[in-house]
Amino acid sequence: MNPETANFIISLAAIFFICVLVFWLYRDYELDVFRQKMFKLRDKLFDEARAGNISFDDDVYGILRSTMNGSIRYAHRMNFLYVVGLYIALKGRPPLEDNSFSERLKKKKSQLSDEQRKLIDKYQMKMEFYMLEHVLFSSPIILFLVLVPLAITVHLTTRVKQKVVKLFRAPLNELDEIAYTEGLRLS
Amino acid sequence: MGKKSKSKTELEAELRAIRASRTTEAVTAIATTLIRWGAIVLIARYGYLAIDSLSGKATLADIGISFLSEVKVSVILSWVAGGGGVIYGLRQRKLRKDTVQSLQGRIQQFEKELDPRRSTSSLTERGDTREEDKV
Repeated sequence: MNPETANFIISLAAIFFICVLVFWLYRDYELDVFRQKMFKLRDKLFDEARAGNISFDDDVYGILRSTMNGSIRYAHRMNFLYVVGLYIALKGRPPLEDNSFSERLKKKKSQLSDEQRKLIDKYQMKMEFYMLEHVLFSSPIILFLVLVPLAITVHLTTRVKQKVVKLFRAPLNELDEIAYTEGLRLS
Repeated sequence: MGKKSKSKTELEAELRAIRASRTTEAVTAIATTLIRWGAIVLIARYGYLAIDSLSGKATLADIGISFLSEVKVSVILSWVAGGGGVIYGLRQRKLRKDTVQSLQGRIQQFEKELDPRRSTSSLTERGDTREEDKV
């Protein structure tokens, strides 16, 4: 066997293991990272209710928690292709309960005090940012295309995160809707 | 949170959304599976072609021995480092899941004492995706 053929076979084996790393190991890792972030957020929301900042019986608490549960359980299905496909499939259809997820949540939030509303806004923004992060970073192909923003994301301020969430409001509404519906079925 | 009863229109809209979700899941699962396994099949094909070019010229033993003689020490060390890293990661993951399994029951119990209507994400005891949820 000549050196070129040996090098070719070694390179092929390396590419094979890189494929396993990117398409299996990295995806499993990213899924676990997202779930861990959501669990942590859910626990913090629980602690807010335990501290009396919001009630366990508030509709808004239930909606947020159900949405987090749904997104945790079905995170393995939430990838870039899924979100694009879902957005196309649900575009133009009449929304559930006559208005979007964010509008319905806004109506429920109007029953809260200003402080409670700010608290819920903070948790909702974080939840949706994590979902967006997960959708982008769970796809190895998208990940390679956004390597530089990846490094920047870690250092994004809350204000910028809010703007990013606002930018992707429409597809996030669909994702929230599905996650909430699935989460409600679990409770 | 108490569930209010839904109207027929709301239930139909919900059913349409869930159907759209399931269809999209199935299509994306097929697409991602094709991409993953397509890459593996391509690699296997080129590996086969590389070995096949030697057929008739040498036995498998000859190929194996001449292959090993071409591989440098630095390459072997790189493979050992990479493989070792993967094994380390898998062992750490197992340790983390063992920890989740041992703690999750107690956490659920204590939280239910504070909130009896505590809802759950229904992952497995080890924090994995349920088999019935996989596409």
